[in-house]
Amino acid sequence: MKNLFNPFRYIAGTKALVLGVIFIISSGFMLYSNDMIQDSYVHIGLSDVALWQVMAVQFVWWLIPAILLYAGGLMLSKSKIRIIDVLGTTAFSQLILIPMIAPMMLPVVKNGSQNVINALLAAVRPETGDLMAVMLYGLWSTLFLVLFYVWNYNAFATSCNIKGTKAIVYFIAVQVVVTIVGSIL
Amino acid sequence: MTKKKILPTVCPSCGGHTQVHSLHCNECDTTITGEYNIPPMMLLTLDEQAFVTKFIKCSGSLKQMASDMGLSYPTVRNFLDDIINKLTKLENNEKSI
Repeated sequence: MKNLFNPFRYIAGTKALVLGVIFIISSGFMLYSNDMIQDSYVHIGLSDVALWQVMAVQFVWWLIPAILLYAGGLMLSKSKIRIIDVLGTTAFSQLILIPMIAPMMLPVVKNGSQNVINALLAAVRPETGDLMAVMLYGLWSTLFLVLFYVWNYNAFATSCNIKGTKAIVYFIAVQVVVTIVGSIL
Repeated sequence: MTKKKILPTVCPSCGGHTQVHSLHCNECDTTITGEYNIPPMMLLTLDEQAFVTKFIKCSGSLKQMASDMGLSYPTVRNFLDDIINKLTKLENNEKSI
């Protein structure tokens, strides 16, 4: 159970970075094949942009928080931290995006959410089946969203050796800044 | 087979650090009494002492230790940093006594 919440006890550095980059590319392909893009830090929307743009956005949403967390580690940690560990662990955290995105590839979820949006725009009551699919996906993605934050926090805490209040406060500050910047861009 | 005894470095009554009060020679049956502080290294937990022993055996290579222990490099480094902090505090406490 501990491994589920903190895999970085066992994996970090180059190995985590290589796997992390594979996860980022895989999630980029999954999004592109469904005409979607990670249009904000933790938000996925519809888009018909080119593959390289989807990939570039995926890498940006990993690198910006990673660099901010590394900067925090340099300021707050008493340990000699390595950028490869911060980049590796945060990249590995992107694995969570795959199970988060995967159900969006299922026709029942994809069509269901589109039908719900269309029904709401037309001010009619959506079909129960469509609503159920959207609600179940909402629950699923919320669970993985929580796990995404837990992994990212543990990536930061482990790679920078920061614990307690200062780690939590700095991590939340980075998440808030990145989310706000993401929603503005 | 005799059971392995663990040196009690923390008082079970008040939680303070214990001291060595007497030493005994089994060869000549001589007993020395006095007040001897337990060295800071001995005040580490058994896990921490095992870690330090492993660290020395690996010639101080954290990468080697991480590989041997099946843990990530930062996990091993964090554990070492925690031991360093603990030893520093113990040494400072010893100096202030």
